[in-house]
Amino acid sequence: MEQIETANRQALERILAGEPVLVDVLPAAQAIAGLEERTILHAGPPIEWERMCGPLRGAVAGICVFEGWAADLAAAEELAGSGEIAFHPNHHFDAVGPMTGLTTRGQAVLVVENRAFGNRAYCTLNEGLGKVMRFGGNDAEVLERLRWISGTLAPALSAALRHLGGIDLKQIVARGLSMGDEMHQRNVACSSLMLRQLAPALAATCHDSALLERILAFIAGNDQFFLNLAMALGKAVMDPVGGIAGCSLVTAMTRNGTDFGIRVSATGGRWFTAPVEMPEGLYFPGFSAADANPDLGDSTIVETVGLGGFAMAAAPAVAGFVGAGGSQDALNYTRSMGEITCGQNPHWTIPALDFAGVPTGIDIRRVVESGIVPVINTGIAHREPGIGQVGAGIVRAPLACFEEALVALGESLGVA
Amino acid sequence: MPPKKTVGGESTSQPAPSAEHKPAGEPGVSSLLAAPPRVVNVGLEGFADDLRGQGVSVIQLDWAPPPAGDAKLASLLAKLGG
Repeated sequence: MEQIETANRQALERILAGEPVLVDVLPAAQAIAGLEERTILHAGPPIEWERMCGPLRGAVAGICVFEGWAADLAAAEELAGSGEIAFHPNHHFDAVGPMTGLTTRGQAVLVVENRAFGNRAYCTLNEGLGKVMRFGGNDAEVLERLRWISGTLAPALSAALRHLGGIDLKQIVARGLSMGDEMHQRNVACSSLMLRQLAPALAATCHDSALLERILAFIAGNDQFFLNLAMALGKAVMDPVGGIAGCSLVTAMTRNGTDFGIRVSATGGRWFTAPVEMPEGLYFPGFSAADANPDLGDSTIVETVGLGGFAMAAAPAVAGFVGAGGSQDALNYTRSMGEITCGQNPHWTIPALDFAGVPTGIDIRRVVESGIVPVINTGIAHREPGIGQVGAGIVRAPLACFEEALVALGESLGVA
Repeated sequence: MPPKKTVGGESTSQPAPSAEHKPAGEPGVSSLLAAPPRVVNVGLEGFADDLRGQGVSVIQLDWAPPPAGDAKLASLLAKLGG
């Protein structure tokens, strides 16, 4: 249908024209309009407390204590189930968050501005590996780290970014792809490139040498520091693609540990959901598939913009890490994603594919027609609250979301 | 989405003879082996691309299984250009 082809070309142009720049790190209460007290933004499509999975409940309890809304975790759980806490998806507030993905007023958020369109997107800072809130961790160590991030790290990064005038993230991703990153489960190159840009500015603006040392060590010690930046980038680039009449491209994919949800350009903010799948992957010593929680997190915005599983060919090391095979399998994952996308991104190329651009613009028609669903590289959380990450793997988006969206697209065009 | 490609030429309504009835050595088989291959690729075009890269002439038929056998979705896809 010509209207769809025209709309999709326009959408692809908007994706490729995006200019995501990290401009600041701010308190969420200041950056995100409408983020009120006793409001928790979470990963995935909308969900109520009763249907939340273990890690999400654990993180909710922890953040209630962090915000001072409850004295301890037991009181926090009671509060969360009382109806006095408002739960909303990050996506409804121009934000994204990894795994449980909680965003509240007291946390700090990365501010990424798409300078081609003027919109901004937000994401909390990556806490590092091990026991962290994004995997459901909620003990004193987790909360203390969050306090340091929001109270100490964030203001220092803000000063450094203002000193620099922002950092162009599109360029960092381009270089990271040539250095073996796919920006979802492997961010070691991009995290290092960020540190190269931030370090001189931090040295220029942070005059407490002990604090400077701690900040540099925190960033240098976290291979996934860039993940949250890639997510805010993805959100900033994809948001201007929403709401194009007749457009069959996906603008968001996300999961809350219970449901997987997608949004499609033509149908704006409407969610199309289906039960989320279990990841298949490798487990840390002492854990197995029996410990795993179904997939969760807004990080699939990375795949939505053409990275992560879509760029697996750039990161053969990831294929092994997530138990997806070898380098040939990595190439095949990217090639298969080319079957369901409407173009390539010439700014983000993959050396191992003769510098072909990453597959970009997921077309729900192609997904339904081929039966090929998006492949996602993901971390695996323990199904019980408070334990954390137990492995990494790949997961597929459920086809039912795309089928439901296709029917809605048809209705929006008066085609039944 | 690009329009469907179609295969030109004659249709073959007769089923291919089985090996039992066409033993090796018959003229048809001999000429098949003696002449350059004539290839029709059904489905993923990457296979055809590989052959073309080696100088083999290939007719490509764009085909995929219908979506999970769902007639309503297949009809909708046909209308939406899927």
